[in-house]
Amino acid sequence: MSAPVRTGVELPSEGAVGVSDHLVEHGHDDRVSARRLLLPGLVFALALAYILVGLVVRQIKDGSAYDDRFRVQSSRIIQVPAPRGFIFDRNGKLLVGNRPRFNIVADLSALQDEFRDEYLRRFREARAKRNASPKPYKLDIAGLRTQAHVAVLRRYLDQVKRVLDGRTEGVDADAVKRHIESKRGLDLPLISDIESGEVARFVENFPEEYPLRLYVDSVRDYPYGDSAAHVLGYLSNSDDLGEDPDEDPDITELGIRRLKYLGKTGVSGLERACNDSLQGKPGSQEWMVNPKGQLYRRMSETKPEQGAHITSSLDIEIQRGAEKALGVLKNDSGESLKGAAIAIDIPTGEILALASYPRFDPNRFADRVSADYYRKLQETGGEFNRATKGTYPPGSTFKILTAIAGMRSGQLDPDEIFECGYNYDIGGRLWPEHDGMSFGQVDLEKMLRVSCNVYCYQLGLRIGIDPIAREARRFGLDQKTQVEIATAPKRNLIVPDAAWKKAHGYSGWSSGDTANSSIGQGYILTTPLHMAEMIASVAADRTRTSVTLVRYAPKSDLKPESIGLTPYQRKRLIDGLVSCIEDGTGKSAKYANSKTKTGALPLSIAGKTGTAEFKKDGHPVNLAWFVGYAPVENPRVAIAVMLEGEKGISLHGGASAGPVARAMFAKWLDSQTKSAATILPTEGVPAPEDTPAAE
Amino acid sequence: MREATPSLSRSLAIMVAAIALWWVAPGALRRLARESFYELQAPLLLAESRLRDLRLYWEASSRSKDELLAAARDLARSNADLAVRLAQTDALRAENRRLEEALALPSRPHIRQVVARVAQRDIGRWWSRVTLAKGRVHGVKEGCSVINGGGVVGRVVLVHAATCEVELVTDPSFRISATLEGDERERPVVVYKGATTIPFEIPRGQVSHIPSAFKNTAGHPLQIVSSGLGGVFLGGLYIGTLETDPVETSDGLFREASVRVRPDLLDLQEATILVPQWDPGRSLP
Repeated sequence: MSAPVRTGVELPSEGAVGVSDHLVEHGHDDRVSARRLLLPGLVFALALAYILVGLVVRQIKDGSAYDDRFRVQSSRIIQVPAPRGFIFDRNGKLLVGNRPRFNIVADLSALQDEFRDEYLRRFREARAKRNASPKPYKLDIAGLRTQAHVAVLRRYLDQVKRVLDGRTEGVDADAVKRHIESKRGLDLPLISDIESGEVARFVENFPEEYPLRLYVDSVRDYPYGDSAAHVLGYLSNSDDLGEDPDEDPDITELGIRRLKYLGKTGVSGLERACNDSLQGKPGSQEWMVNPKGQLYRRMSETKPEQGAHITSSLDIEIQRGAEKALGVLKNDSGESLKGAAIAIDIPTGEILALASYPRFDPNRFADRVSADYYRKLQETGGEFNRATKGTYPPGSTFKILTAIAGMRSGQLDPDEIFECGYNYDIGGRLWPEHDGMSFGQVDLEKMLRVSCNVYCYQLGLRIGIDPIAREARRFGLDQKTQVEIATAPKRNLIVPDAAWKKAHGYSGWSSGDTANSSIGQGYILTTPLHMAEMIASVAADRTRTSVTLVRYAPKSDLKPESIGLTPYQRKRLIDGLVSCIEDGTGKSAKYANSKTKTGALPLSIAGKTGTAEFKKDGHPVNLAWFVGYAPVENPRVAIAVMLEGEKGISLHGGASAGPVARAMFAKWLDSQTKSAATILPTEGVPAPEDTPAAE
Repeated sequence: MREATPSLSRSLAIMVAAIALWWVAPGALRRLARESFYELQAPLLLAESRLRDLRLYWEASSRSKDELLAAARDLARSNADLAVRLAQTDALRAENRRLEEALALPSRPHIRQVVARVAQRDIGRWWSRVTLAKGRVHGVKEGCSVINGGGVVGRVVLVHAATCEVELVTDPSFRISATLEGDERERPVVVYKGATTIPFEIPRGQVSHIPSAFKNTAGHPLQIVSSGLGGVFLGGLYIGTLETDPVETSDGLFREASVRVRPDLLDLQEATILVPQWDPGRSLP
């Protein structure tokens, strides 16, 4: 430290401070400076350490949380509904399909700059106008913004309309405002359902990057129009697009905001019953959004997957045959009578036809039903399914159950003769035979052939109401059927007895009530489907038939039991039902001309007719019924028909409902002839094990 | 060195000033400058095109007499064939006119054909754009269809004074309403779209919106032709051939397939621009 330093520069010899002294002094200063710097250095080091630790914590420890927060803030999931699955009839004929619908929509994110420019222009104009006004007022900023949106959209829409030629659609300011408030990230629909020629013109005249673009969605298509409408049902708009089981679980967990295109959901019929299967898997797109919530980059896309196809149990030819036959009888105004007709495949319980009149056209509900059409439906009751929801007294068709009750109770020998006059005295009141007839000596077979009331009055009074009600309940007349579509509520299905009458606040049970019930009149109410199920069960010698509208439906949990008649009792019962068709009230169900017994179907048929009266909405209504099955020796098809005669129209089960049943038996015969050439299932129809179970 | 420094500074200053000026210049001025620049170089493109034609002519003139005689014979046969077809067309035209008069249909507008040589084809956009040597002065308008003997070539997307740019049928942004030919049943209206193609590979496109129920029952690959419904292209012009049978899309609504586009577009020399006498945006009557 004390050694001289050679610097090459001449140093002063005396009276001057040496270099070493300088160094010593500087060294001292440096130490002082270092001490002084220690504190800020420490502070800086601590700050740096804090920053580094913070960085580590945020980047490594909390990194995923920040990533999640970023994703939630900057991502949007757009869900696109999947095309619904098809519905086929049992022979593979398409009953419900989809048709693509081409729409023109505006890509709002591509128009943002134009929206802003237009808004600024309008804002400046409005501000200038306000400044010039002597009376100050507040500018309607939200209104100006909507006006700007509408103006820009209208400009583009006009260009498109010039090319499409003939379109009159406009831009609805309220709809635009609503859309931007609630569905900002989605395209705004401008023109719906354009034709193929218009698609061609749009495609060739506008580039792909044009802000208005084609959007294709699917619309339900019912190729048979209003045929089987009550079975197939219809759809309405819905935000419920179904679940995507393969969706990234983070999306749900993080709560990333979803925007959904409007989907469809089943409102009635199989569309509703099988909605989960038909709905399919929605598509989804994950988009990045800017701070204004506008989409600007698509991160990922999953295409929607079409729903599963359903094979219904219907045979559309039998269905159409039933509908055509139902429409034959008309009232004074020339309108077809209201009614229902059902055909059931006895071995499986599958419903081959389920017709109800009046009907509706589900195609009218495919997009948005018009108010006029809906009002008309309300007036005519076309939406109401009479076959499954309408409850009516079954009339003389119920006599089958009265007879079974008599035989099972051991109080009726089928060969026993009852003396049957014009009427029967019950408690001092004369209960008449139908049509002013007197049938004389009547046994079970004759009772069923001629539909003798007096026989049933006597039988009913002999056995009492309880065995009759018990039998009706065994056949499920007080239970909802197993069919998949909506049916009458249980409370509307009435099998009356003393307890029921008491529970409902009526006076005590009388002999007249029993007599009435024994002929299917009075309080008893049931649906045409129940009566079809009943006759199918009688044909198959069981108490219940599990009916279904889905082919290859899983086995029902119903446990039917044998009716419990002796072979002879059963034979006499069937003899009666056959004679009803061959020589009795039900001839028109087999013969084209029942008087001459010509035009017979090559089919052995057993059946029973019925005529009933009841009050509907306070007005007397005359009902015509037919229940029957065929072939007698090997029961395959059961049919029930019900027609409502309005005031002034007199109906009879045989003459009115019989021909409808005949038409249905004829169609069933046709289908049996053709079935040999039919290949099941057709392409696109799922194999039995793949068919989803309906709800 | 001392003298160079101020000059460099000045140059840099001028450049910065020019950029700043360009930046703040009104849009119309900038567009004018851009188009002027393009129009100035257009004669070079045309000259280059002429020179290429001249080179081809000289190449052809070096052929032997035998070759020329054979070519002349082929040409004479083609001419005779065309003369027959022309006569048939005249007869059909007369029949058409008679029917139109009988049905009181509105008269058809005239379509003017403008034949144009290829002026330039950029190697980087070989399957995307081509510049034709006809432009505004020849009546060419944006949106006009461009065809040649093989079918659809593309659509005019930019028109200059003496040249125009054509978006080729293979460009990913080109789309046209088309139909499937070769199946005698109902012909569905579909959408053809160009697809990204690597230079010198077989050009491809994509056809979509084929109805899901469609099946190729013709027994051979189907051809895609213009539908004529779009108002820009006439109907029946060949676009390409399906490479595969259409496959169903995941949503089950449609089928789609890849299309092999005409390979002769690789060496396009000449095309015809169809200039309708109505606004190309309007539909064909």
